[in-house]
Amino acid sequence: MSVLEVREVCKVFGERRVLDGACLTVESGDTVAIMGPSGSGKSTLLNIMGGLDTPTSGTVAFGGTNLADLAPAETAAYRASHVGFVFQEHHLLPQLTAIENVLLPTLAARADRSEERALSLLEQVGVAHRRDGFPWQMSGGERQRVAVARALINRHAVHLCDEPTGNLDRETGSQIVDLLLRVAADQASDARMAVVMVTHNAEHAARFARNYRLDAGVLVAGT
Amino acid sequence: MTLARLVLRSLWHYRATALATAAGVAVAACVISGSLVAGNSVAATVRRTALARLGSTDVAIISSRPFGAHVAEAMSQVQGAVITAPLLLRPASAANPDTDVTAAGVQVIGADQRFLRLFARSARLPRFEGRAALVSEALAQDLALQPGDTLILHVASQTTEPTASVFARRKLSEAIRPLRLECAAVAPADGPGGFALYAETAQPRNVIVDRAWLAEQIGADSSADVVLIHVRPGADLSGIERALRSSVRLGDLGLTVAAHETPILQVVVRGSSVTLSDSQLEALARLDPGAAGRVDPASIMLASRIACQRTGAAEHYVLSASVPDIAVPDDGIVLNRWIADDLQARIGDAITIEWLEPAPDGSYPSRTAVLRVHGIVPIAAARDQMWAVPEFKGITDTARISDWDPPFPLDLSRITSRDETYWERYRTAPKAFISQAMARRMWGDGSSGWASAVRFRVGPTRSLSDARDDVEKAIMASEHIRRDGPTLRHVRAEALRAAEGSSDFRGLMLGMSIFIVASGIALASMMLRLSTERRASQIGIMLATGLSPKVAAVSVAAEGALAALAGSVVGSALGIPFAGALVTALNSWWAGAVARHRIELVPDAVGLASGAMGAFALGSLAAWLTARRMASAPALRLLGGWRATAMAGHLGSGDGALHPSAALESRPARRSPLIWWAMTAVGAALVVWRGVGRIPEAAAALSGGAVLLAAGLGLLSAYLTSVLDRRQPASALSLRRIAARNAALRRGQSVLIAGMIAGSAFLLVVVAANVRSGSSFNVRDRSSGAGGFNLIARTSGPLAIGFDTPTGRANLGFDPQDEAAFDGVEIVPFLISPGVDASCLNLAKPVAPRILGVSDAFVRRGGFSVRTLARTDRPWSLLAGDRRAGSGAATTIPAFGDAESVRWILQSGLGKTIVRETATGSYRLRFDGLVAFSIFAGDILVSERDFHRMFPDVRAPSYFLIRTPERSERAVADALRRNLGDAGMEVRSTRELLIEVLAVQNTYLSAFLLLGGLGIALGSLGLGVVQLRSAYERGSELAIMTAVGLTRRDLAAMILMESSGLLLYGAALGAVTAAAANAARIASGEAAVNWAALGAVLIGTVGVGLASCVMAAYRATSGRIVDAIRAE
Repeated sequence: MSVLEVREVCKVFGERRVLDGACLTVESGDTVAIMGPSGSGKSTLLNIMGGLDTPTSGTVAFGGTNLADLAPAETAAYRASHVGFVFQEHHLLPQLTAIENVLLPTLAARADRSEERALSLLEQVGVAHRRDGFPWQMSGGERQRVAVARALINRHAVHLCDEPTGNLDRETGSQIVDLLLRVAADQASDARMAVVMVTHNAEHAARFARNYRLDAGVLVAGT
Repeated sequence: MTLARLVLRSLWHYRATALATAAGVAVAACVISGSLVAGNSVAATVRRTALARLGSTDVAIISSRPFGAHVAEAMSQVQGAVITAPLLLRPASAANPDTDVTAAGVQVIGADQRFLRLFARSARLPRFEGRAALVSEALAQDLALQPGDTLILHVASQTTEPTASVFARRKLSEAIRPLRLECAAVAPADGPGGFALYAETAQPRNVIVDRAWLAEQIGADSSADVVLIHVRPGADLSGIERALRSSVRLGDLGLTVAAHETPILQVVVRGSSVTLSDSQLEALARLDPGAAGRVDPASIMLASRIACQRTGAAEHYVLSASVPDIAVPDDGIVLNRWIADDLQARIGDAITIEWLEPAPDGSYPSRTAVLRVHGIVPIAAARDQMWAVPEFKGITDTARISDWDPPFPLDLSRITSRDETYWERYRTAPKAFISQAMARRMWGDGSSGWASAVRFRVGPTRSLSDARDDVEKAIMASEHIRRDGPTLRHVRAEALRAAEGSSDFRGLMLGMSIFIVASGIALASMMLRLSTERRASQIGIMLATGLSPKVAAVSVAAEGALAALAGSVVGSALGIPFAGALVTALNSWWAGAVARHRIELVPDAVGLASGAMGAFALGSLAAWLTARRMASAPALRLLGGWRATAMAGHLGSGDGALHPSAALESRPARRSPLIWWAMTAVGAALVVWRGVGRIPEAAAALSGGAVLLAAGLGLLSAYLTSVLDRRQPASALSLRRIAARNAALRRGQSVLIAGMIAGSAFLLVVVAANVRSGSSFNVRDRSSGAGGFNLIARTSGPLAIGFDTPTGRANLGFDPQDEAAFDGVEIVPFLISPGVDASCLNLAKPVAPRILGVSDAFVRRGGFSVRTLARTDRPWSLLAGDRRAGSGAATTIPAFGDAESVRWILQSGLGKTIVRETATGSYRLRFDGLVAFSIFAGDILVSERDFHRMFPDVRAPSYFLIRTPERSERAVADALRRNLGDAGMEVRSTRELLIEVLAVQNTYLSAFLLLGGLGIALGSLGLGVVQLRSAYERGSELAIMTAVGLTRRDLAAMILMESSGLLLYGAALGAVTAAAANAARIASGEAAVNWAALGAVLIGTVGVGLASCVMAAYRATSGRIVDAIRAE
């Protein structure tokens, strides 16, 4: 079942065409990696898919609904309920503990705020021992793991990951990718999570079922 | 995880910011609360004073003429009346014979011990009887009196005759009675010593003596003209009104009613003076006493000489009457047989009649007329007309003419034995009869009345006694007539109303402190903004995870609101010491602002709560606006961090993304700085136009200056924009460029900071330029606020003889050696009514403002600067303008007033009306003219004609404006004090009065200057706090700069450059634009700018700001900066 459908999406900044007719279909349970040089529009495509940005032309549909037809409040609800983000910068709130940061999205989705699930996720990402710690008490890797856990708390249909391993060492980065793929694979068939990841790392990309390359605004399948 | 937990965690985590925010709000709360409490203290003090002066008095019976003891007795019988205290009140002057110091404006209170029972603090006061008197604190201080000392009082004697009447006793020795008293004790000011019926700020100067003794000394037949009444709480006051109505008698209204059978059945009404007043006559003419018929007035006059031209025979001091029963043509005269025989006159003969007309200078020039004998009547017919002749003590009660003691000159050598025979046989039977028109002519301009009696004919079917009763009942039922007698006044309620004051002191105090409030809120707002900006990425992730912008804004705003709540509670409590400081200032350096009235601090919960709520609301609003602004930004921009947010704001990009390409290629069009230069030109033009007098000063000062100020800020904004747009060589990178970039990155905040400093400096300079100097007054200029007069004089009571002529001065007993000083002196007298000061020197609301009666001579003279609705070259002539016909509530009278007093104290304006109640009715005074800043600050002016209508009992002037040559100013003042000291003469220079009034305004401006400076200093201090905080937030940047080799001093210099530039630019912009806008005023010398104080305030505030920025810079760069990288 198609979860996200990107059709002929173009994005222009001034005179520069960053995306040129990108097309992508993400099915439930898909794992998609997008690679490309810096400034090629990878993050832009991800932001458009997540409703954080709007295309100059083309459409992005989630579950058949064109995101452009949604009001701002509905777009926020879309993100709260269906899309999880993992950024290169962890963007943890320094005033919240690890477990509280994980539970932050539940405020928006009014979803289950049980600490058990949050703790379970922290265990899965390997930082359960930091549950009551604050971000400044953790290493960069630990913070990024917490950020991953935060993205997973609401059981979103799609996870959009913008270079989640960009600031991490090789081993930690691999662990994060493992985590993402494992979580995607662990879901029941009717609630499987799709993962779309932007990365520079070919090794990581190779572990995803589908690979794309974005070059000069054009999205091409394969490496 | 709940929203509340997020809010509380964030609050604790960013507690430093929260504390700074709370501190800013606390300052605002402290100042708002304190200002409201201080303002309430002024109002409460005025209220306490007004009520303390009445003691426990609730209502009073008050009359313009003394009334009988039966009225007070009737009041004491009313259920609920606890204390009734009859009083006899008289104006006077007092002197200490040991020191020769004199005090004018003294109120003599004839009372008994019941008066003291109205005041709590009078238990220890001794009894006063005979010559023992209680002296008020203020008067005792003025005269340096101690118990046991002697004081001399000069009190106005009781008189019933209008001053312009030939029957009035005008000499000072007759009008004023000296009394030698002993000071038995000093009466406290918050007790009987401070008694006053009108609420006024000035301390009363009272002397309390035994009432019966005083009445005897001044020749008052009745012993009271006021009765103070204290009633039980909740008592029904209608009982007092009923008792008053039933107890008042004809005599209390100044009337008598008598029935006569000859010449016809008639009921005659006479007044207590020789003539009935115009209002009495008018009211009597309107009476409808049942079956009584026509109403006829009668008049009598004493002719000093009547001579027959044909025979040359003459008689002196002939009583002449105008009566309805003897018709006389206007050019005719009817003689009785006696005088006709004496003059050997026949019908048709020409008769010369002479009479005395009292002149204002105390002389009695003769007037003559020639009449033709129209008829000769028998003496019996003349005797039948004796009803028209009133009693006059000293004339009608004597056995012989030679025993007469008249107030006018009497040449006894002219009295013959035949005259004495007539007097013995026929007494006051008129010897001659004239027409009503002739009688009016003999009575002069009518200001003293002309009718001596009113006769009601009794119809044939009516009994005389019934008719008399009917007339009396009709008189007692006439509200018009009763108004002239004892009336009930709710003095306590009036005092409370007056104590509300004309000025809203709460608002005034708050307005003066507004800079401090603004600085506090601005500090809180800047801290909130800074903190929120730094947390842009947090807000971004909240939006990215699906929280709506509203929820994200609420969570951030809630932190600010909680900090504001804490600050407002703490600050409000601190409002009491702040109020204490304001009250201390009002009692010392700013005493002029409250007319030197001692203010007590009266904390009130409403003021404190209002301050807390106001500050909380402002702080929460600032938090909400800041949070909403941030949360409404696109999530992507926020995720980029605060610098990206600021950059996008600078670029004005509306897209959600911030793409590197956009930074270079998609910049929106900028507003050209030319528009700001154009505004500068417009502002300069306005200022120049003002300088050449083409546009009004106020318009130029504010609009021209404001335009220049706005243009200056616009240029700053354009400059900061250009800083980021400018492509400078990278090799020219400097600390100054980095500092400028940082300031430019926060362009909005930078312009806000500079604008705040500039606006404050602008207002301070404008305020300082509006402080006026008394030394620049040219009181001899007729268009000035003194109208060309350099002296103003007042006596305690009306002066029946004017001192504006040599004859008048001689008749007043002036020392002949003083006459030379009056050479070239112009004196203009004014009638002045009872009432209260309507100027800013009176904190209480003037419920009954003083009225001045302006003579025709003054209208012709003109002077002062008067603004009128109608265009005219003779503005004062408008006082004689149209008025609506009618009486009582419908009468509208044209009036002039001091422009400032009318606007701020009377809360009125040009063309608007106020209501003034008098004993004769209610009058609407319409301000047809406003006099610019004048010596009339405390008074309202009407024509003399209208004054007589409003106050018929005020018959002579007691207010004088004097213009002397410069060389003789002191000599004239000394001569007046010396020769008229017994009349309570007070002389002061008009300059002194103007300076006194100006001092109030200048004090407020000085207070505003000081508090405003404090506010700016606080704002400058806050700037340093903001800089410090900002520097902390940029720790990683500073760390990198350290890592590349810049020293701590370099970093501090960079931070200092960012803030000091804004501070200095703002202060200079505000000061220069304000000075330019007021240049003409400053150059002319009209403005008394205290350059030292102004400079100190401005330099001080800038200095405080710079110092705080320096401290912030060094504080931020102390410690291990590189640790900031790890913390980040």
